[in-house]
Amino acid sequence: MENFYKRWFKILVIPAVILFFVVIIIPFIMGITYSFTAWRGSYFKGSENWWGALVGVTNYIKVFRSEKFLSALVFTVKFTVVAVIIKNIASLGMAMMVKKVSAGKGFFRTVFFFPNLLGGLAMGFVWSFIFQNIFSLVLFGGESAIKIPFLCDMLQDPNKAIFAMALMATWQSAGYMLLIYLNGLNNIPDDLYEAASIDGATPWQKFKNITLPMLMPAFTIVFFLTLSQSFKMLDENLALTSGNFGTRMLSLQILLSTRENIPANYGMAQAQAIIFFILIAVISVAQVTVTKRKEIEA
Amino acid sequence: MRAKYIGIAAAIGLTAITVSGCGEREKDYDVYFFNGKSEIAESLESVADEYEAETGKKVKVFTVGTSESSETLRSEIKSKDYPTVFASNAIGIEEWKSAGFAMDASEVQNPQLKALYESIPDSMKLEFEGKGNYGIPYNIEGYGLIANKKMLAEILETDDIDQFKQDYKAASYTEFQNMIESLDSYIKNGSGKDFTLNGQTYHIRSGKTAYTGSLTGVLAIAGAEKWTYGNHYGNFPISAVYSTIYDVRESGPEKADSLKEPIVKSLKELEFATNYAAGADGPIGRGAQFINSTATGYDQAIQMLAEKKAIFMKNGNWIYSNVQKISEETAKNLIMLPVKVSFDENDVTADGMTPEKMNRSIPEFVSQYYVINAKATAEERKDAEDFVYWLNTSEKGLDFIINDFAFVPFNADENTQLDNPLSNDLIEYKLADGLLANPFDAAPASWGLESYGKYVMEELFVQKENWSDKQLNEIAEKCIKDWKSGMEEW
Repeated sequence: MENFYKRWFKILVIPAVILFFVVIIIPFIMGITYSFTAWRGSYFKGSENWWGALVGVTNYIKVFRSEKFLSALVFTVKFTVVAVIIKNIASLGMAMMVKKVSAGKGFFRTVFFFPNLLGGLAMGFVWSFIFQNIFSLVLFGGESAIKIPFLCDMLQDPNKAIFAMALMATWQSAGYMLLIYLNGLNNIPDDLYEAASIDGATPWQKFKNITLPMLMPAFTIVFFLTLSQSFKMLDENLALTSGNFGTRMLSLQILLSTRENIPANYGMAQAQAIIFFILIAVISVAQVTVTKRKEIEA
Repeated sequence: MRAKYIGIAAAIGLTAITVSGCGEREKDYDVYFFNGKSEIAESLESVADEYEAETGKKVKVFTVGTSESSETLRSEIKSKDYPTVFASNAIGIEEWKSAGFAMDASEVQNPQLKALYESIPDSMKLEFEGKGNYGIPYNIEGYGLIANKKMLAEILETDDIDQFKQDYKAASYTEFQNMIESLDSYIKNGSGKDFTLNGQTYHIRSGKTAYTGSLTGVLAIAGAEKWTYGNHYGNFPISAVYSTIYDVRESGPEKADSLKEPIVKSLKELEFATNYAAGADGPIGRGAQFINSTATGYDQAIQMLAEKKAIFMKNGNWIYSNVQKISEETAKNLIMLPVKVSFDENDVTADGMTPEKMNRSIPEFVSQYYVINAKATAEERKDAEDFVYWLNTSEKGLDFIINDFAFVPFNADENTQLDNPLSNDLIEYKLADGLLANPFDAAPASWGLESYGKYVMEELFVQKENWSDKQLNEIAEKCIKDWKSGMEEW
């Protein structure tokens, strides 16, 4: 069997390669090209062909001058920082807890994983109800005995909204990250902890000097996933705030910019998408390189 | 070794799927209509069946939910199976004309259809840069202050609502405010001061009745829906300054400066109205909850009107079917009144417009047009023309438009009667020269939602206190700045 795959490898990957070319590479190259043109979706302004409608870097200049794009970029970065921290702390905490629990491990894993099965939009609408009514009127405001203004009307203030969105995103993806962390934790040999105990290490010392370094491979993956997930977030943003109150993130900005002019300026939207791609690529590669360097072998 | 062949077959199969769809094949329809209004998607299927039974020509209908419609049309029209008739709104035509898909009336082969194109009143023609005639209107839509006439008759103890309607149309802004205040006092205390409309005194009943007992506020306001004020209240200042959508597109940026005072006044009207908003269990004041989408969404506002918690609601004739689903009785009692804004001579500078006319008129507009695809073959275009002509002129076609789509036909006259009383009112305003054009359609595309509507929601609706003049001036200036930067894209 092994031989079979080796011998026919090139033929067997053809469909995947063709699909990858047709669906990803070709549109991507076209996208780069079109971002330098006055593309209006169904036609090129002032010409029959794209080469006649080339406008140089005008679209890119417009993007960097656009207040909406820049504020979306700043907001996205802020959200990503907060979300990555909260998601990692929550999922690692939950993973350590699940590892400690002796009975019903499977039950907790399943429960924590559940939210991951919900679609972003549906979940966004559920949470917008929770934030607008449960949080603001029942639990922390309105007639409630506990008054916490920070947790009321969280969707009507950009700073509070970062935490509202991070809370929802964590609830959604922590269960998935938990599985990766749990796998990482299970791979740490128990004798390391035993040796540390004999040397009289405190729990914090054990965590800092054994768990964290040994978990680096899991960190690399979880960091990468949470970072790119948060940076690209769209559905949740749309359903929770629709970008109101200065909470528009980059994906939503790109989506909406084709609706902000008539005829739609696809060239400029495409330029934003290219910048967006480069940003994600640079950040992810940098992060993976840095965290990889810290990985150690047991 | 069988696995090998399966592997290769799978590889070939998948590749074939990837490149399939490129082959030639016969089209199995004569007319392909890309529809832009999801409300009529189902009825259109019956239209297609009827047309096929009558003429033997097969019509394929395709509808997408409204917000993604233009994205889908963009890719569909460039495919091999392009639509031969498609829908465009007044401002979208720039794209279809520039891309070469919009057919002008001069190229129409069917002489009767050509005559129909030419019969469209100038104000409704689908033009590009003031030239051409590219489409047949789907219908006319309009919005205003919708009222429950039975509720008014009950509170005012009058049987003559027609007289009230006439007086209301002619009433001044101060009279309008007095009326709202008296009605509010009635809802809160069971009594209210007499007020005048057009000089006629109206008396308010003392004490609640079974019919008026459920009222919680004067107006149902959908505070969470930016479009209900961004796209509607935002139109009044534009109508005061620009006469048509072409005026908007052709005027220089300096003209936008005249929008300032009208915008401030439209905002003041919103401030006034939001003081009297009805809620689910009592009046709902401005503040964080005023824009809570689970309390003041579009559906909730309609429900308040239908369940007699509010007397008025500013919206369009399309709410009828939604109201009807909740209360058949309320639905048949709806009437359409003009929205009042305190414009004076200095504010209303548009050609042919006066404060007096604005005061008694409602905005009406054509939301979509049937446009024939100029890039289709001559034969396909002929079939498309025949279908559009049949739908808009034949007895059966008109029956579908009026009774199934519940549309107001663009050429409606005093003989047109619809089930929807609001649509009948639209026809009445149209015949009585009581229409405002909808120059709003030509405003920078996101202006209503992302400027006017956004500022109103984020800065004003959440504020419990009265709005200061300084604040309103600043918002008006921001709206004008956004307008001008939007113009750079034209």
